[in-house]
Amino acid sequence: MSRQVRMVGSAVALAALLLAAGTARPETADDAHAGPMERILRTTDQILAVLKDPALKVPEKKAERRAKVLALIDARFNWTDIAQRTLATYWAPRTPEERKEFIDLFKDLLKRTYMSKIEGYAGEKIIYKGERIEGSYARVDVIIVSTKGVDIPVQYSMKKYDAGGWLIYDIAIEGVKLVNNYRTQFSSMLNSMAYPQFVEKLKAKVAETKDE
Amino acid sequence: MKKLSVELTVGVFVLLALILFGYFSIKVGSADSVGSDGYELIARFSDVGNLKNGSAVVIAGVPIGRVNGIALRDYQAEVRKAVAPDVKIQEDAIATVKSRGLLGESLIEISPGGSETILASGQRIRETQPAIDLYGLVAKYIFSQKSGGGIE
Repeated sequence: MSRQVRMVGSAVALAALLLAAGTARPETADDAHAGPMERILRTTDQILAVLKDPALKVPEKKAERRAKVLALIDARFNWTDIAQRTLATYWAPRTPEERKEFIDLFKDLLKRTYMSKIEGYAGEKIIYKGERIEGSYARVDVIIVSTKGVDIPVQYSMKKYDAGGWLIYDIAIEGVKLVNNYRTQFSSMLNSMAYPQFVEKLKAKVAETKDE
Repeated sequence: MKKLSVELTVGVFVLLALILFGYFSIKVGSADSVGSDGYELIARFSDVGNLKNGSAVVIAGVPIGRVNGIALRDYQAEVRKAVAPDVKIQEDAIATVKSRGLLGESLIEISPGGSETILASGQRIRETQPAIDLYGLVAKYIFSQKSGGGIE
């Protein structure tokens, strides 16, 4: 992978880390009515609780712990929207089956690429800068202070969906967006090969990505 | 007589070169891809770098418009651009400020999205990516070198 892709990879891992770092917050309003930042804060707390749970830290509980963290992250993202934005102009011609297959593959790719980094959370500090809401869209700005003392700006792009309320559809780190990064890669692949070939390549990529 | 014809030839060549130089200077600097019947889109960036009025707007490297105006709004750069009428931009398209060429000329690159909703005149491309601050990234890299470097 190129240097830029690796950089974005690290950045996305950090963004995911954000979901795993925060301070305990009391449960207040009903989750369905929670605003964009409130939702990120809650998920953060929940993931942190799982990661810190001593009962789940033992090696034989690793799979269970991972499943719990994944379920929490899963519920905060709108995967269909992310997949559509990533596949971009190649989304419209896809059949419902192809779309479902792509969503699962892409999710799997992200999971395998970043999960071990989330589990390696080392106490990074998080500063919540605030949220900006414009109609049914919102941005949540956060700064992650790495253990080396470097500030990393992270921005969550969220949308209020009819089903599910406020969900994440993109993450930007240092101004570099996840969707745009994968959109560029996939578009250049799909320019030079047919869709079935692209899916095969994606499957091979998922298979070769180590699932630690 | 022979001497004169050599001077004349050189003169003609110099004149021709000057005319060509003038022609290309005007052609490069002018808005040539979008007529007055283009429609206007807006995009907000946290940093536009060297972007200027008249900077190109491209899709896949093909010019499809020009920057019409840059103003500060809510402490962000609001860029207005005229887009050719036959080019449809989806609601989830992403506008990125990029540099191109030897002189680092800035332009806006639009990567088309997958949404069925097409932006109408006066609407905003919501997803944008600012000019990459290379100096900032280099500085971060340098200051984190002590313990291994990088943002990881």
